[in-house]
Amino acid sequence: MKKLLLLVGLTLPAVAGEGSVYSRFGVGDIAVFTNGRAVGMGGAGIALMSESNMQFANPAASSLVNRTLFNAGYQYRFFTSEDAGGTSMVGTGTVNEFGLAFPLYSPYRMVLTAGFVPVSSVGYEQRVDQPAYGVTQVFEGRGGISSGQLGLSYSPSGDLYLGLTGHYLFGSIYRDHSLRFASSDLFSGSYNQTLSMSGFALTAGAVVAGVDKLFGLSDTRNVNLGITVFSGSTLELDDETLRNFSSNQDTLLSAGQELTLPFGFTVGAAMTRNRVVYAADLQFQNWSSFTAAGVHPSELRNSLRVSAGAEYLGSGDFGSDFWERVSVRLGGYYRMTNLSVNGEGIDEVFGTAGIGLPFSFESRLNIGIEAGVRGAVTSTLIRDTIMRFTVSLTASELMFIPPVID
Amino acid sequence: MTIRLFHPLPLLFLLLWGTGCAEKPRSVGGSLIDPNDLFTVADTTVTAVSDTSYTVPLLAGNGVELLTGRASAADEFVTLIRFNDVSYVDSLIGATIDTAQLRLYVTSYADRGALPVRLGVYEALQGWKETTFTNDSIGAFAVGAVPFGVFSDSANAGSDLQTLLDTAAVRRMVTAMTDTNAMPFHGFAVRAEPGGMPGTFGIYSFNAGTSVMPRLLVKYTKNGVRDSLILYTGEDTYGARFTVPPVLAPFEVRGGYGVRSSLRFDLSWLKDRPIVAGATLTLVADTAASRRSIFSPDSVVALLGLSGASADASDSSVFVIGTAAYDSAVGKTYVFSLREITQRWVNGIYVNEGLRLRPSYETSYADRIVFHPADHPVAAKRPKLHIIYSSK
Repeated sequence: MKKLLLLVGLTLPAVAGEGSVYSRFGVGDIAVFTNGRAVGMGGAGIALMSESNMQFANPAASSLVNRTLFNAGYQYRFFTSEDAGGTSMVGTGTVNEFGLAFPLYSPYRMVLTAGFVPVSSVGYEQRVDQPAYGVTQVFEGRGGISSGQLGLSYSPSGDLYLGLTGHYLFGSIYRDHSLRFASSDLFSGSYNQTLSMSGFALTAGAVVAGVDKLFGLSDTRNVNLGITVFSGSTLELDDETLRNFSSNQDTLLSAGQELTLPFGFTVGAAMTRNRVVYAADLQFQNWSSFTAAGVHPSELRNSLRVSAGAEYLGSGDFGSDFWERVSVRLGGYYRMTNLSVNGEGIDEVFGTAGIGLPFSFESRLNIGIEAGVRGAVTSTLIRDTIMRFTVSLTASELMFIPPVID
Repeated sequence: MTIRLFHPLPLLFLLLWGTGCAEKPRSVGGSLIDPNDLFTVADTTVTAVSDTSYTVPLLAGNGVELLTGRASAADEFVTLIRFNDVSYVDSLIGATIDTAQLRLYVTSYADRGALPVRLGVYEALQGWKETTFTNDSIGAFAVGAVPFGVFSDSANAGSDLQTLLDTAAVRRMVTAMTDTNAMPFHGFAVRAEPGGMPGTFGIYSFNAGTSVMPRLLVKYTKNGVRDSLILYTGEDTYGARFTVPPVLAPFEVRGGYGVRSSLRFDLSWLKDRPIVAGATLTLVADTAASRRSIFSPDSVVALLGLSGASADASDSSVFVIGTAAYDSAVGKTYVFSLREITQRWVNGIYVNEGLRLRPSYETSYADRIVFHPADHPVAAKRPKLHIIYSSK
């Protein structure tokens, strides 16, 4: 177990990565991640429940987990950013999820989940050339916010599942602004800003299972409804700017400020029919109330995401042929991001696909690909074409137990 | 439960984590930058608000070079040399001094008149120490009226000047060194011979290498045996003596005489600690009024000025060197990079008390560099500080 915890520690610095210039605003790109399975289904699935899948987005949806699960995911992101002047490409890969789920008390479906997931990521480099002085101004950013979270589910009845997740939100955003003169005789100074933040938040979730049966529409439980409510949070914010002069450095520190992450909610539905699972979510977050040090950035607006997907379920019989046990997923989502830059809203559309490969007893390797575009090429905006490739392993405790050889 | 951590999948996971790196992105989206986020880059040229020449007592005894000779009819340099190697002169007790030859090595010269140069070696009639003797101490300093010897040479840089000294004088020197009750001998004073042609000369001091420092070659006979020895350790210094006090230009520096200048710019208008990318000080030289020695480095030192009762208050650890350049519009200039000092002034790390200027190697060369002052009628010739800075 200590070694597993070490593995958790190794993932922490890798949560944030490089990406789009749009991540300059607010706290960066807001992550769209429910779990490895949902990646191929447009990110939808807060109402999806399974014995072999833990949920980061909805603590209630992990209620059916009946043995210890280990979850880890790696994501490679490739951005092609385009404006009127040219194209830039950047690719980066990081660990983007790490979690454990333990069933605590089966009669009440009490399952404890713990994990680390990204909340936002910042990664950009921009240059502005000013021929008058032979100077290039360079903006660079990196970092982001992560969530270390602990969730607990509880089912007061067979149809209703509740859950509560406590988040410890933490991270740093580094913004460097430097001058680079063409002449080596001139000093290229810089400002290095570090925004460090931390705080707590809650996500409450619920799943009502078998709504169709509840209302007498079906004899079996095929339809689930889910909801999550994110409390929002006031993070403690330290704003430190290191100014680099030719002769010395100095630091401007504004400690003890506040950064308010806004309230949000997600509602979702899932339906199973003929070995096909359908899921759809709608997520809203009130970014218009976001403030950093008491200031609301003019570029931020409320965000709304509509996502939907389907999964063809492979056979759960261990004795079946490998390919019969493979799950196949398709989906997509449309998101009004929380950005409105130069008076124009930045929206994105993604198509997703994925497969779930059976692996060693109850374990699954979920592979998902997301492809989409964000923004538009105008005189004042850029368009990002984004590819995300996610590999997520969900393993049960059985995978780590050597078979007994008689 | 036994954990198989070295299962292939966790290892693959770690491998993927390790590859989480990215190529450097190129720039797009410059239009997304709010103009208010940019550094504002600007440059400006300011003229000095004050410049003043002044003199300081110059301690010349620690230098590698000494100065002697006469720059004009009104001023001269007098070099003082005293040999003090007692262990060697023991050999001369009871000996007959046959000859004594003083040798000095020339390093540079300025304003040299018609040849040959004639420098006399006189007796110093007062006590002195190289650690306390300053250039203005020479004013009332008494020297003998009759030379012990006279150098007569072209005195080119690199010349090894030689003259025979009166052996009686050397005998007196030896006696004074070995007998504390004897009449003191304060050393030799080397100065231009009265009526000789002008010229100032740099000569190596005892702080220079063995082969070029002042040497006294003594040949003697003792107990019927002829022998010789060389004395080459001692103290030395020099001073500048005036018959008419020099008139300083408003803004000049002068080696050997302790003439320095202060210079100040008003930078109070630079607010909020801008980043100083470059700050170049340009001083325009009045070449007609200036004078340089052969082989002297054509440069000026600017030290950080400090507040204090003395006009020369400065921080000797913070300085920049200005080197000679040529500007087709204004002629010869001296250019200094003042970026770090200006940044510290702007940041309030240093109080802006201006600069203190002096010649490089100011005890080694009798150079005079006259700058056009801040009130020069031609604006382009005034001292200027050109600053490129950025602010946010």
